[in-house]
This record gives sequence, structure tokens and C-alpha cells, in this order.
Amino acid sequence: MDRTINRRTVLKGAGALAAGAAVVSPFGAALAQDASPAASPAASPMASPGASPVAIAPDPSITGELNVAMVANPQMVALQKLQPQFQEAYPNIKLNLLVLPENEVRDRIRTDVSTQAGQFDVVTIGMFEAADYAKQGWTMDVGTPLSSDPNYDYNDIFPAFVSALSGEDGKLYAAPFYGESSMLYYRKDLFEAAGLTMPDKPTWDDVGNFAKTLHKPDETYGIALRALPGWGEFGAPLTSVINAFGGRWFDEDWKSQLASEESAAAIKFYTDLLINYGQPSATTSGFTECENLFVQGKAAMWYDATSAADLLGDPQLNPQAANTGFAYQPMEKIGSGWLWAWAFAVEKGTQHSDAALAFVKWATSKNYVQTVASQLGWGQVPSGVRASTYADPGYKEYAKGFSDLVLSIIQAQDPTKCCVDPVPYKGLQFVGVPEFVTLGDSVTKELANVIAGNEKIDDALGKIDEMANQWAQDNGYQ
Amino acid sequence: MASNVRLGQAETAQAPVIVDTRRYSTVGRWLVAPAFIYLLVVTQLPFIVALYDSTFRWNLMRPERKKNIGLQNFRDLISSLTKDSDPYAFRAALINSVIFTVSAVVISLVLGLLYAELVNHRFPGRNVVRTMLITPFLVMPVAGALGWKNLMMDPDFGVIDWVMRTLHFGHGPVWLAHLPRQSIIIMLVWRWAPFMMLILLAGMQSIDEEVREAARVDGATPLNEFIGITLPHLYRFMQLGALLGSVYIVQETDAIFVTTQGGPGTLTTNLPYLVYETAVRGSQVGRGAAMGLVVVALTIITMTFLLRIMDRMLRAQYGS
Repeated sequence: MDRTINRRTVLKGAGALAAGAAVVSPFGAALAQDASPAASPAASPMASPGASPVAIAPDPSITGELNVAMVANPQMVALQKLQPQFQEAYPNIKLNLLVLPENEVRDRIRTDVSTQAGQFDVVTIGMFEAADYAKQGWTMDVGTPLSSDPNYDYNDIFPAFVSALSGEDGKLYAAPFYGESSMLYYRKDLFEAAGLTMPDKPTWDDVGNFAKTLHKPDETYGIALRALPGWGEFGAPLTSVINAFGGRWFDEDWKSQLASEESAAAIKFYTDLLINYGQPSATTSGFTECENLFVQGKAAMWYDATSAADLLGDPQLNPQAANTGFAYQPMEKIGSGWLWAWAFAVEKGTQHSDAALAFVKWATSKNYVQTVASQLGWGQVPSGVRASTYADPGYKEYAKGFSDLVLSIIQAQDPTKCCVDPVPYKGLQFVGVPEFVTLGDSVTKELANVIAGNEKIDDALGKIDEMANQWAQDNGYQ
Repeated sequence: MASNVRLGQAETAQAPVIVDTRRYSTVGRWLVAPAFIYLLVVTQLPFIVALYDSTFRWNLMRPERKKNIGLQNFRDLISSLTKDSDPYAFRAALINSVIFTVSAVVISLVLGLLYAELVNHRFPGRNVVRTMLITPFLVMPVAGALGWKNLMMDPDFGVIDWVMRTLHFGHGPVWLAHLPRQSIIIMLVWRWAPFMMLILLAGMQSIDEEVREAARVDGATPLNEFIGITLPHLYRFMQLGALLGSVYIVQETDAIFVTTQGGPGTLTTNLPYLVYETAVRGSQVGRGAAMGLVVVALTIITMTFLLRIMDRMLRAQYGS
């Protein structure tokens, strides 16, 4: 009899336990492990006397309580520090900031927005979500009210971001906070010692040859590249290389093109480069790990997000700063496009849309950049989205090694033209549809297995091609 | 009653104790009601919701495509088990779960036994050693895994590789790339061996010192003593350790999340991690729920089996 009772209890207990796991995340807190290409290095607090911000007259007419969920990148942490400034300008808005590590907050934001649960009023979203959320009617048009305010200087925002964050109706649904593209970092001293010169606009072939020459496994690796599985980790540089080689993820009918001649050549190039001349810890290296290797002098080159430039150019944070060179993102058939921004979106269900708009306007305005510069230093400024930042003498002085280069790279990005051949999606270093997360994750896992030496590239290419087609079928694209 | 027969014991007649249950029943029911309702809300409701969700093709990002597809999610999972290509990585995750759980439990038990035998003897500094041995279990799992990844196993900055180079063995393997499963098992064992030690130590300390003394008087060597007295006595404690260990280890995801993200390939994706990838990262609520339910079914089978063992073991010790 005891047995019967036992079994029944077990049935219930176990059933409920695992069912719980099916609905909620099986482990609670997420980690600072990064899942998107937008993680930024800690910026240095190098204050320089820039133009002081225009004082905003307090506006007590706007009231309400705002819940804002943000990714805990340094730029957002700086915003948190400046909360008193916001309260001064809007004394009657009660601002609650939730700043959490990326993986955790992403999952929460995605769930809150898609179920319209109304936990948050303002959320940070990325590039590929903006258009889709707008289409679903989950977020508000922020472009119209922002562009009507002359102080906001709407046209100062780089058009690439406006285009990427707009819905199909052409309206802006998320205001960019800071942005980035990609570039090539290299060690000038090692290049000089080996008698090499980095061209202004290197090709991937150049990069491969440099890596070969400079690869001395006991001292420095030829190149550091991400290969930590994840659509936003390994997936970002890989996709930008695929596109540069003339490949693409899908053709216009959503048939997988990963095994096409161009894509396969790009994937082989990337994996071979890492296997032969890359860091041995590649499959566990994301943005942060690669950055560490480069800063520790273990890598002769590193291709990654432009947001690393702030740290790499700072002698206090990078012992190699004086020897760090900055070069244009490598090209092959076309440039390796890359464009990412964290942007503030207002949820449709908010009860305090005026307050929400006031916050978005405050945080993404030209004036805010000046506020950060004067309070915290140019190193913590949200850069990459406004032309005025790159025209500011204060920022130019702070970022003299790279600001012009970054500016020219970002201005050259066009998120609607990723590839040589036409594609049915937007986005440069990712496939701009929300379901891409699953595909990007599993494809990069498979390719990491090649880099680890556990699988042959040709087998993997067949597998990822099948995965992509299966994914397109499952999600109703094919 | 059948269980008694199964246990090979004669049924013993007992004098029935007569209690008027009616007197207590009403009050009793009210008293357990809060706990019962709580249990119902936090365990059974989600279970029913998961059952319902599992019949949908439902990606949170695409509400317009939400559609009832009956048992298609389950058919997909079964096809993943049987098809060569394993499109949903379900078979790989199942195999990994078994590999991780079995090997981590067995190795932890053996190591835990050695630890316990060590600190069961008196020697100077025993308390310090005991504390140090338990420490891995008290470290936050995520912090522990980060330490393993960055401080121990990293081929550039890790201690293991540094030791190997210093001793002129050359570079060691790139742990998390070349030996991903083994690396995860090492992390799991590091964390769970102390747990086994605690259980087995409790067992060792419950051995009557007189028995040991008698053995020594009869000329038993320490090895004889360990094999002849300690081990048989610990048998039940090892069963308990194996049961609890597998319940905990089967749901380990922290180490995987922090170090390999389930890769390379699907070599370190276990079932809970796959459910997380599907339901939370991929927003595929329907398929995630279906996976969760299949995991439930498998867990129930394993748990029932293991609980029977524990049941038998307790009965054998304390009678029925």
C-alpha cells in the first residue's frame, strides 16, 4: 500500500517539477555571458572639458510612473548614474530603472512585449526586433513625436539606424541609443617587425596572409575571432564574412544558401583561419574573451565590433594601446557589413505614453550626449548613432585614433543591402527575423564543432544547410 | 502487501489500532488545505497549462501563426529520436543527459567515498581539510563554472595548461573544445563529490566503533577493515547518494550555459538546456512544452525505479 502512495506522489511531484521547467526557464538568474554583438567594453572615465549641455527647464506637467527595462551594458549603467538629471527635468515622473545582464533582460523583455503583459513601459530592443514588433502592433511610433522637436535634432541620427529601426510603414518604432559596426584591430608593432603594412581597406585574403605570417602560437596568435556558439556571438562575424564573400543565408524563396559555393567558401575560410592561425580557445570565445586576448597581447589581429575601440584606444585599459592600429572592416566581393544598435521602444500598452516619450527623448537626444560627457567623460558617451558626436571637438580629441574611421564605416552601412544577391530579410550580420535566434544558435554550434576538430567541414555544411531548410519550413517561410 | 512478498518477508499480523478518523477528518482537511491549494497552484496548474500548450505550434514572436496542431510536436520529437539527422537535437540531448548523469554520479560517489574515508580518520588539520573538501559544493554554480572556464581550462590563461607547460609537457588539450563532455563531467564531479562525501561520512560515523575495534583485535588490516566493515555498511548510503545525486545532476545547466552554450555541435546539450534553448531563447512555447512533458515522462519512469530501490532499502533497514 505504501508503494501505491509513493508512486502517486512521485507521479505528481515529478510531473509538476518538469512541467514547471517547460514553462519557465530551467534555471533562474541569467548571466553576464553575452548573447548579442552589442556588448561593449567598460569605457574609461576620461573626462575632457566638452561643450556643456543645454539646461532643460523643468517640466512638471508630465506625470506618471515609468518602468524601464535595460540591458546592463556600460552605456546603460552610465544612464542609471544620470537618473537625477532626468528627475530634475521631469520632477513628476517616477522613474524605475531595471538594469539586468543581457540574457536575462532579453528574455524578460521579449516575453513582456510579445504577451503585452505591461510589466514595462520602455524597453531596450535590438535591430531585428523593431520592425517585427511594430508589425505586430506591440510598440509605439516614436519617430513622429521625436522628429517634431527641433531640440532633439532627429536628422542628426545616422539614416542607417533610422531605416533599420523603422517599420514597414516607414515610421521609427525605436529610438537608437548607441550603435556600432565592425572593424579590424591589429598590432602595429608586430606588423612593423614582420615588415607588413596594413592597407587602408584590407581584404579577407590580406587578413588570411597576415595571420599566417604573424601566427606564433607560443607568443601571439595570428588572429582572434569569435566562435562561441550563439547567433549574436559567433553568428555575427561569421555572417558578415559570408556576406562579404558574396554568399547569403537564404535566397528570395527562403531556400537555404549556406551550402552555396560562395557561402561555403566563406565558412571554410572562417573556420580554417581559426583552426590554423586563431586562438585555441575559439569555441568558448565571444566578444569579451577575444577582447581579453587582444588586450593581453595574445592576438596580432582581431575583427569585431567598433564599440571595442573606446577601450582599445585607452592606454589605461589596454597596455597595447600605443601599438593598436585600427583598420576598415575587411572586404572581399563586398564589405563585411555590420550594424547594430540598442534602441528604446515604448510598449503600446503603456498607461503613461507622455512620460515614456519624455524619457526616450531625454535619453537619445543630442543633449544627453553632452550631459554624459560633462558628468562622466567622453569614454562613457553612447556613441555610434549621431553625426554630431563625431563632429564634437571633445569626442574627436578623446577618440583621435579611430573616430573618423568609425564614422566612415558606420556611414557606409546599409541594412537593406547585406549581400551581393537579393535576400528576403533585413540585417547585415544576422538574418533580421525574430525566429533567427534558434537557427543562428544551432548553426553556430555545428560550426564550432568543426573548429574544435570534432567534425569535417563538408559534413557540417550539409547539416547546417538541412537545418536552415527545416527551420524555414517549421516557421512557415518555405 | 504485495510489496512485502516482493521483499521476501513473511507478513506479520499486527493488532489493529482503532482510531475514530471522523473526529479528525474535517479539522484535518481544513488544516492541510492551504498547503494543498498552494501545491495545486504552483505545480498542477502549470502542468495542465503545459499539456495544453504542447498541442500548439506557437512561437511567441509570431502570434498570428499560433495553431493547434494536435500531437505534431510529439511526433516531431519522436522523429528526432529515430531520424538519422536528429533535426531537433532531441536524441543528442537525451544521450548527453544519460552520459552526464551516470558518469558524474559514479565518479562523484567513488571520489566522495575516498574523501569521506580520509576525513573519517583523525589527523592534524582534519577540520581544515574537511572544510576545503566541502567548499566546491558551497560555491555558486555559475561562479564555479566561470572559474573552471577562465582560470582552469583556458588554454592561454588557465592553470592546467600553465602547469603542463611549466613541467615541460607542452600544451595540454583545449578542454572545452576537444574534450567538451569530459570537461563538463569534471565540473559536475568537482561540485557533487563533496555532496557524496557528506552523505557517506554520515554513514561512516554511524558505524559502531566497537565493531571496528573487534575487527582490529582479530588482526584486520586497515584495508580489510575498509572492505569488510565500512563498505558493506555504506551500501545503503551509496544508494541514497546515487538517487539524490542523479535527481540533482540531471537538471544541471549552469556549467553548460556558462562554458559551452551546449556546443560544440550538440556535444554538451542536455535535456534541460535544450528545453531552455527551445522555450526561452527560441520562444517556441509549444515545442518547449512538449519537450518538457517528454522529459517528465522519462523522469517519472526513472524516479519510480530509483524510489523503489530506496523504498526497499529503508524497509530492509527499519522493517515495514
